[in-house]
Amino acid sequence: MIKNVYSGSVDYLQVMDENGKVDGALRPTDIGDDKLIELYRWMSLSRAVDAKVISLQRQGRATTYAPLLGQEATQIGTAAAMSAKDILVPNFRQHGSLLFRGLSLYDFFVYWKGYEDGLVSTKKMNSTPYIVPVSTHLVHAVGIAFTHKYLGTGASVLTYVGDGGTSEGDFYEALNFAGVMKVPIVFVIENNQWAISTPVRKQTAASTLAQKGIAAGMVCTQVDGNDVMAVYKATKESLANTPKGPSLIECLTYRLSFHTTSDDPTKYRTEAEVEDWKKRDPIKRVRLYLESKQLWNASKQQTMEDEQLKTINGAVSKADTFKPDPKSMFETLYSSIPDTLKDEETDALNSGFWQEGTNPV
Amino acid sequence: MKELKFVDVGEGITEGHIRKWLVLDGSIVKEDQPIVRVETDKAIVEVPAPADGKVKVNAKADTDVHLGDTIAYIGTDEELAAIGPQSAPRSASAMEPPAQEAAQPDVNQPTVVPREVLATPSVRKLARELGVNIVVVTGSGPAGRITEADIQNATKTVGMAPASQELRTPGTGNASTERIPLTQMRKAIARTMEESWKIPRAVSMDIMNAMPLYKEVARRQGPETAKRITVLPFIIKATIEALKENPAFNASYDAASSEIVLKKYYNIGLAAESSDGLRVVVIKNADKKSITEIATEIKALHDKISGNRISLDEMRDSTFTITNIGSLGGGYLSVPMINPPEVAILGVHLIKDAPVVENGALKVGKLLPLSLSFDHRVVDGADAVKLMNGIMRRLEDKNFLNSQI
Repeated sequence: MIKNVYSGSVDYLQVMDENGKVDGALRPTDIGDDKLIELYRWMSLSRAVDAKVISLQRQGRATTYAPLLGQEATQIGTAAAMSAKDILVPNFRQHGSLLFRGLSLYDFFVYWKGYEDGLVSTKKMNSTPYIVPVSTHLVHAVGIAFTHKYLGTGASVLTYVGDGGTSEGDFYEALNFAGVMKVPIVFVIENNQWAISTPVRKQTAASTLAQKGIAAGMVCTQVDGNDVMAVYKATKESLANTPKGPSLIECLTYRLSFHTTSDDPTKYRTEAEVEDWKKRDPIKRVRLYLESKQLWNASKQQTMEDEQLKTINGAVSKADTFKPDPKSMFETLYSSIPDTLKDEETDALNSGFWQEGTNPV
Repeated sequence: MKELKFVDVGEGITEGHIRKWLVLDGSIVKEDQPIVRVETDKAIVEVPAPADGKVKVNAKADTDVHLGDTIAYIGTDEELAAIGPQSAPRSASAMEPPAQEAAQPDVNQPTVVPREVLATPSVRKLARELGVNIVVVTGSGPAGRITEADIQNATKTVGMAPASQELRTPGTGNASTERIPLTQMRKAIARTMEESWKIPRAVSMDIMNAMPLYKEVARRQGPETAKRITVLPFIIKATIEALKENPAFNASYDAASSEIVLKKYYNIGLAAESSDGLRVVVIKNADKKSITEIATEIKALHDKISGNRISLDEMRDSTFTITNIGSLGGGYLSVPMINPPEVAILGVHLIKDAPVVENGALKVGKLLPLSLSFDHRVVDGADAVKLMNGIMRRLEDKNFLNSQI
């Protein structure tokens, strides 16, 4: 006897196409045009901040940095769908998400100058700091979500992983545990097509990354990751569903820039491919829509860019005056400092290990 | 004014190469505007202007820059005018001949077109160990990837014997070998010897009757062992007299001008072994010093060497060098290396009891073998024989030996 015991499928969602044309039936009811302009501003700010850090890095004023260029809709769309009590667990590229959640530009630039002090405030906005090791944070994110379920806080966790990260063992373990224990978590796969120099076609034989969640028994969706409304809609629905269990959203986007400031993508991908994705730019399509509705024009654009650059440069100047406190590296590591670490701190301070004027960058 | 310095634009970058200026020297630029493309061993990156202003290029296209080098200045006309010319970066390729000259291919040299090499680090290491130029190896792996077998085959096809790992990997060793880096002193000796080896040299050898010399030294010893006289001061004196008759040996060769530089003074270098290697100490104006004075000075110089107190001045400006191999207690005859830029060096060996024929009768005599290495560009074999004869004749002459107070 042979009978079909399982068949799964993954839906693809797009609300606004690359020309700014909106499918009215799918448009989230809570994203009116004013809200859309707000999201547009956030995406634009993320992009401007991104360019600034790269410029600083090239001058030796910022550390190694992973740009978000091209992925603004995925980050702003997901972050905007979260409620204040929800917990954000980012990896190393979620600058837009963190800024939207409330990380100040000053703290942001302090961190990218090389001081962990800049991320201390993430705790207050229900976020963890950046987590650089690929996929290791997913099991922690599941643990955090499990805690909140146990405590009955009603908070959900939203975490990100790249396309490359979905090949890690931690990814499958996290998905499995989340599915079995029905923890309140939303996994967002930020599929930007490239894991440093490995393209998605060499990353997996699966036709979508979203389907990886099916085996863990969760709701899986693929969305146009360059469509901020589709990302928002899918995230909002997934978060609303967390009392029943976890969800997985694959956002199809593209890393228009390098993997990090140490990388040179011209060595492994073609200019034609990049140009093709530029046509699907997440910011451009919103602008096309807003302009078609006479809600935006060149003058408003210029005003916004000038204001944002002024804010950014102001934050950079302020961050330049930041004086690090040597104690912060000991005292911000754990929620309460262990005795052994306290001893180390005392020894270090007594030995005068901190040289005045030392700049890590 | 802002200085745009080359910084670590990747992770662990220490140097870069200016590929292209994206703006002209003197252009007005905006803060954060990319102005120059720099290639590092990781990536080609665009470096932006740190401020609004006018650009003054400091590191030209196609030059190398190191961490901290100033690539450009950004400022006002007045600020830029105040910058002195002394701040241009010192980069290797900037000092190379102009592109026009460099572009002329050397017809005698097979040109290797640089291409991307696809190989794992272990394969690259193997290539280094076997002395294979990986750039010219054709890869048999996927997408032309060079495999271990390709490297092994490359050694066979060019008939190259694989060098042992001990010889190829610096700073390592195994149970049966030990690798010791050269000391600065040893490196200096090595450089001098390499320089010396470039001299087209020939050697003249002879054996002289050392009995009169032996007797004269014995006669002068006296009871005071502190003032011990050796054969060396006599040899120095005899050599100087012979050099006066053959001035081309008290000279140096100037290859650049094809001229012989005759020295009108006699500074005799003496090869001496010190704890860290060979040194040449110099008896300055030895022609104006007596046997006793020279003997005293030799003793003083040797004491300074063993006490590590010798000054540089006491080791330079020799015009002719003598190496007393005999004093080391062994060796029959040697071919000494010329002390460049001198023309010749005299090797003095161990005096030994030997059968000699005197007036048709066999006797027990004392023989001293001598060798003279000389720069054949400057002098010929006939000149060398003449010099050697001049030295030996005096050392075999009682009256000469006696007269040198």
